[in-house]
Amino acid sequence: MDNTNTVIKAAKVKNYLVVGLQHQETHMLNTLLAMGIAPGRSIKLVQESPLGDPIIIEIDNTRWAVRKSLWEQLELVEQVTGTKCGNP
Amino acid sequence: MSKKVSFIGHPNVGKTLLFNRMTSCNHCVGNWSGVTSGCHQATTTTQTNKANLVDLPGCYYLPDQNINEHQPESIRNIQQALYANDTDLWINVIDANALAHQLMLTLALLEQGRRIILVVNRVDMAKNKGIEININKLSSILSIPVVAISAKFGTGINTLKKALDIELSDATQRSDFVLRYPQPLENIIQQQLRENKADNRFAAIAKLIHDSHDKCLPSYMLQEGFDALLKGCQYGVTELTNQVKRAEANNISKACIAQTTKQQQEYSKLLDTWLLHKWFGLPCFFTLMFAVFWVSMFFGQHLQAVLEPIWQLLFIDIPAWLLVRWRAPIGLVIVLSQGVGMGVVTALSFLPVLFCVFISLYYLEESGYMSRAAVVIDRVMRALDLPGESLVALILGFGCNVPGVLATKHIARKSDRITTALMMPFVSCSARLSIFAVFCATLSKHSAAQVLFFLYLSGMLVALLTGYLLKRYLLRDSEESTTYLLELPAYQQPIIFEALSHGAKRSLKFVYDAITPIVCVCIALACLQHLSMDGQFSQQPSSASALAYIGKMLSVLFYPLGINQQQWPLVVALITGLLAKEVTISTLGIFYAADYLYHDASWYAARPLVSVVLHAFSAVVDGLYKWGNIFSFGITSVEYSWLSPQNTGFISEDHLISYLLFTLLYFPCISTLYAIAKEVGWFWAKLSLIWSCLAAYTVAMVYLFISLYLPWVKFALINMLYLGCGLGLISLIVSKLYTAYIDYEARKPLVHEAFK
Repeated sequence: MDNTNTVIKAAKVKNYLVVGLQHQETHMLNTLLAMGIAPGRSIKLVQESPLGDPIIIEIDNTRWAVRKSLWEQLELVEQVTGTKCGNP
Repeated sequence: MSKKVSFIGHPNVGKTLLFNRMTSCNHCVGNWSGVTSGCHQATTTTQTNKANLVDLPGCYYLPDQNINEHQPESIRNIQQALYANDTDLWINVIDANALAHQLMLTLALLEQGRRIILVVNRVDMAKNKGIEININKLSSILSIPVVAISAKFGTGINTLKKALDIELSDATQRSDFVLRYPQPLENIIQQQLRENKADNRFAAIAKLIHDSHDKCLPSYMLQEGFDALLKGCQYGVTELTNQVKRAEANNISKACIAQTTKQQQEYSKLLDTWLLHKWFGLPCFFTLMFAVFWVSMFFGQHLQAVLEPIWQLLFIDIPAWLLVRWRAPIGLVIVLSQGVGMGVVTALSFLPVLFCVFISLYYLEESGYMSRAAVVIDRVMRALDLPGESLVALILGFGCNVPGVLATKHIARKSDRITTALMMPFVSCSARLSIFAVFCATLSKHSAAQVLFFLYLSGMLVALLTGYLLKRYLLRDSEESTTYLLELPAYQQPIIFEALSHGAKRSLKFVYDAITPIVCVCIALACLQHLSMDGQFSQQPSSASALAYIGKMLSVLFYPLGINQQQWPLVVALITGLLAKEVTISTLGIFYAADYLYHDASWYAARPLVSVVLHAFSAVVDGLYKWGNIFSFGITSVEYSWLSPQNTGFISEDHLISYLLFTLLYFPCISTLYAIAKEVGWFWAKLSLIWSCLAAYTVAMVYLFISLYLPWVKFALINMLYLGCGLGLISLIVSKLYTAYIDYEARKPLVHEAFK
């Protein structure tokens, strides 16, 4: 699995399945899990911000701005488009 | 005896707003996460009880007892509150729009065996989205009191107070809801509790997480099936318990929510598409910033033009007239009118501008755009390791530094707040612009624009240098900023009445707090200006006054800046400029043209009160006339004939520019200094004072030295600067075009993939 996710620069919303978080530090791990970025769940990449860096993702209808550096730490698998985002 | 009740919940669920509603406090609220970082306390009384309410910062998860160096300040505050064990009751605030998500925190609180009241906020918003929550069912499932409220509109607060009263009166009631985990894990938890190794289920799990950290399980965890259970979870017990909680929270919310329609949800997303759009995002940001700036500065200043004559009448003219009529000694007249009166008028002069700034900021925050603005410019500010919010504050600083400093309140990290506040005095505010405009009017038209640009630029460069030095050497953060996560709240419509009352309260509070120090400085300056060296009060400031004497003495210090002893009024103007930078020009007017700002005793003695009042009202009418050109953005520069080089004694343009550089940087005016002290503490305010004086002196001296002795260096530097700006702009455009091209290329293979 490729660890560095290139943010696909397409206008279309992309769905990803979270496989791993890499980030081991307790505070961050707890925050990510509480946000809903947990292995086995899917998240949506909605859009990039104007200057390209924080990217906008959506989990359970809540939107978050995430820096690419964090995004790249997540282990993700792109899901086939058309699947519904939400709780698996 | 009062009982302690604490608010807990996710960020931006409206804890502070609810807290304000229950205690009639006025703490800072905003439609984005992390507004509250410290703890607020206040007391409230219910029918039979007295409660001490504590407002905690928001958190996404319940931290355990272990201190972790990566935890932000807010989490540490929550830890302290949680494990001090002195809280009788918890009010868990959750957002009705994200019930499933936020119930996880409630489940964790229940696991800790805490007594809680669950408050479901924003039911109004949920109703608009077609979400109906069955409060009774939620209450019976969790077996805790649940209250539905809308903190924004103030509905349900009384019900909450009643529930609070009942809960406080009866301390024995506890929820019997237990969240069951899969069997092997449940067995271990039960065993822990039986053997008294943990006080509650949460503590038992925390202990498990702590003990199982190194993938090598201790003996008590070697239960049958537990290994297999953990195999599916990379992050061990943390992930497992999280999964179970999430599933349970989902089940509960499904059982309690009846979603009728699914509309309006898209409205927020549609706005995001445009406001965070790749191409339109930045223009939208700058348009909105300009709107805020315009409302606060032009609107505020026009309001001020009408109000100032009234305040001058009330606090300077009428007391002076009365005192003159009563034949009070001249010293008293000066101290009371020029000192106290002038101080009050100076403090009040911030009121209209601050009022407008706070209202527009309130709109930015409450609408939910502020967090988007932070996202839009995050990349620019990251170079300084500052959040996007600090740019918003700095932009406001171009109008007036005081609201800029006060706007730093919304920055979550303390180090960022301090850095932004200390950068602020170098941002050239409109008061300084008025000085530059007046001086530049004596220069030729071509060089005036260049000089103005140069001054603004050097201010910004010093601000950037300050930020860099602070971040690099004084305020190194343990939390790395790469882990940047910001929840984007849904857009909402702010209430006009709330905005007005918020603006009025906050601006009045600043003026009320700042009035004492400003009045003190005013009295000191008035005395120095009017007292001659032999202890006699004179009617008007004169060249024989103590201040003039001090100016003459200090002018020695300014010799390296090209100011000689004959130019002492320039130094005196710098001293009076401490009060407010625009006073510099009026002080120079006094000494060069005997152009007095205020009337002397004979003026008051010669006319009846009606005439004084009419005089003020004619100024009000003048102010009203100015509203006619509110949409003109040009700098109104007034040419004063007395500012000619013969009078001021500047040998060359470079001497003038050096003086202007010093004026720009040397001292944040007393109000800004007070604002910095109030926001980030006196230590930083003093540091700002020393640093700005040092920077001003050095920059002005270096500039003069280079331009006098190394003119070719100056020539080269200026051309390099222009070249740099030009190249920067070109490279920005090129990089944008390049990314657009890459973007276009990247789409091609995607189409193929879709066909596969």
